[in-house]
Amino acid sequence: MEDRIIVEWLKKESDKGISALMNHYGGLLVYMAKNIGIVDKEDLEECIGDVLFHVWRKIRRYDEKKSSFKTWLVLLAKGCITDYVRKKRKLLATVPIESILNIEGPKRKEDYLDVLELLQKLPPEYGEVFYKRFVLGESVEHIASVMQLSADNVYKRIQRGREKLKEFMEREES
Amino acid sequence: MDRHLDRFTEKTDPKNYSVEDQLKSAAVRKAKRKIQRYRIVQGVKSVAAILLLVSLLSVFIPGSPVNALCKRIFSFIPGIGVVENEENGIPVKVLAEPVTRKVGKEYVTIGTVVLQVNRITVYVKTNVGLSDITGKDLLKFHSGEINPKLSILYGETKIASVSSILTGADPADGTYSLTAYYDLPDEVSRQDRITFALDGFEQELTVALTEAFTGFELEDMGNFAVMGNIHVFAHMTREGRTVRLQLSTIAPKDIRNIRFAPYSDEKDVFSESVRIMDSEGHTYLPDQDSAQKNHAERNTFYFSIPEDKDHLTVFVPYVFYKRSLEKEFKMKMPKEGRTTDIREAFDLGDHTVTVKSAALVPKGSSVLPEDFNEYPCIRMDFDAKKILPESLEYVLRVDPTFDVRKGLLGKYTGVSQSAYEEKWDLEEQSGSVFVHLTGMEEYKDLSFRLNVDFVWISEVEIKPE
Repeated sequence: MEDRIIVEWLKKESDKGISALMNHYGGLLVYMAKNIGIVDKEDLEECIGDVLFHVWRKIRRYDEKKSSFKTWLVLLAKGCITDYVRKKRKLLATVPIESILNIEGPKRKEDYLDVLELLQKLPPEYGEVFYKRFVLGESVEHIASVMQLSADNVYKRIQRGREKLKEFMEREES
Repeated sequence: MDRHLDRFTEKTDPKNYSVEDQLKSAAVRKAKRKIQRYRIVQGVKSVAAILLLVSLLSVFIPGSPVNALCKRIFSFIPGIGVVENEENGIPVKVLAEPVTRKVGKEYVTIGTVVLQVNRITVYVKTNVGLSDITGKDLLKFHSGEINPKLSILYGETKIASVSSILTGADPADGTYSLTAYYDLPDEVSRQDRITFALDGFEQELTVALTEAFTGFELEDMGNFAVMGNIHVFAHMTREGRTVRLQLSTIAPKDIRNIRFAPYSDEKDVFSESVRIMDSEGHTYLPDQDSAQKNHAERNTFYFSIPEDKDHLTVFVPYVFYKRSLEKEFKMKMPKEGRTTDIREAFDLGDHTVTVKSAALVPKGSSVLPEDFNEYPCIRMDFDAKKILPESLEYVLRVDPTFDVRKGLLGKYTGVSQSAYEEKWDLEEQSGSVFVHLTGMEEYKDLSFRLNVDFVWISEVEIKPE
């Protein structure tokens, strides 16, 4: 199903839109939630329900000029899931994006969308690692194996990506 | 614009990630329920149902030329107050008096029922189902998962609520509140009698609905007095010696937290109370025990008055309320031992309030309030002058909320804070606030917004009809 139709339904017919979103992206959302540390079945249902609700609430703010729907969705989902984990205090296996960026972590789930434009700018050689590690929540070992890199190399890319992001932020500040 | 991240997400094919059907449908169901609740809460906020009394009333002050042009229909709803009708021409039906049923120690009180076209809203107080609940189940109960459900019975049909919200419970007797919404088929919404059933409670409750009192303008409603910009409505019910007085209000929307009783630390200055006088001149004060027993909400008062006393008049000496200033002030963290001159003035209500200065007071200083002695605090000084000298509005205290700038993103964000807000002298109209921010040594750039507590002092009398 095309993202354009899902977006349209979410805006006009919430029930249809929510079901379509879950049918198409449910697996990816559950994968992210599990990577970020939610394992209990009831927690998964509640957390994914929360993500779907927030996507519905925020859908009118989605701007196709800034990102694809999928990018927007995974960043919003990352915020919601992290928020849920924080509330549940069951953090298991994730590294929060703020600890890598060395900045104060977003207080609201929507704030994850604030870094969207910066992540879009991150050069591909670092960006993919960031995406896999901090958005999808994949482990360094898994990333290394999929990208055919050594774990050491993955860490180095994370480090360089972090420096690059800091540079973007400082530039934005000034 | 670079869109590198899009390139990576594009590579992520959702089809490669599977999810169990059961999890899928449970998550969708939960999301839909959240959407439904959200819509109801938004609806309640905008339509003026529960605490409703949000008003349009700046244009409804008597004498305003706009008033004559803006004819709206209002209804008085017992237990809620005055509401603006949503659907012109279709009468709002309400429950005239609360109905209670008891079985052993358990009880159900249907306090308010409002039927607007096909949507019926019911407010219930009960302790059914809570007596044997402990531990984890208690959480499930409060989250609305395992609490008894309230349904409407119509012939053989059982109508479930579209949504219900549970609040409470009182640890003393397990009383909790349930607010439930139903969408009724036409044939049910035309009935004047509605029957409710609560799971686990043996008795059904049938209530009779009557048309709400309706007026085209506020003055038609009767039962009210004006205190500044606030219209105060009194609604009284009697059961034996117990008189229940509900004060409801309509006010401009920037006025919040309206209350008629002072907080305990205000009683030294505001010693009068809402009271009732009978035709022989006997005065009755609120009965606190009865209020507690009946789980009285703010602005609902209980009195004990002999049944033969009539022509009761309500006296309301003060109304307390809060206004917030939209503007955000920015300032640098003051240096210890120096006072930063701010001198920013703004108009709020009938006053011009001035933020005079800010200073950093080190911990241990003798000027700090007792409970704040061990922490450094920002001290802020304010004063206020009336714009209209004849106004009966006074500033009671000022309450700043700080944000701090931190991190490379450079955004101002909230920070944990505790404040001591000095109660202002009504004559001098000036005062201070001491605020301690967690980790305040780290911050240089601050911003703050202000809430101001006011009191309107002018006793009014209302003769409830």
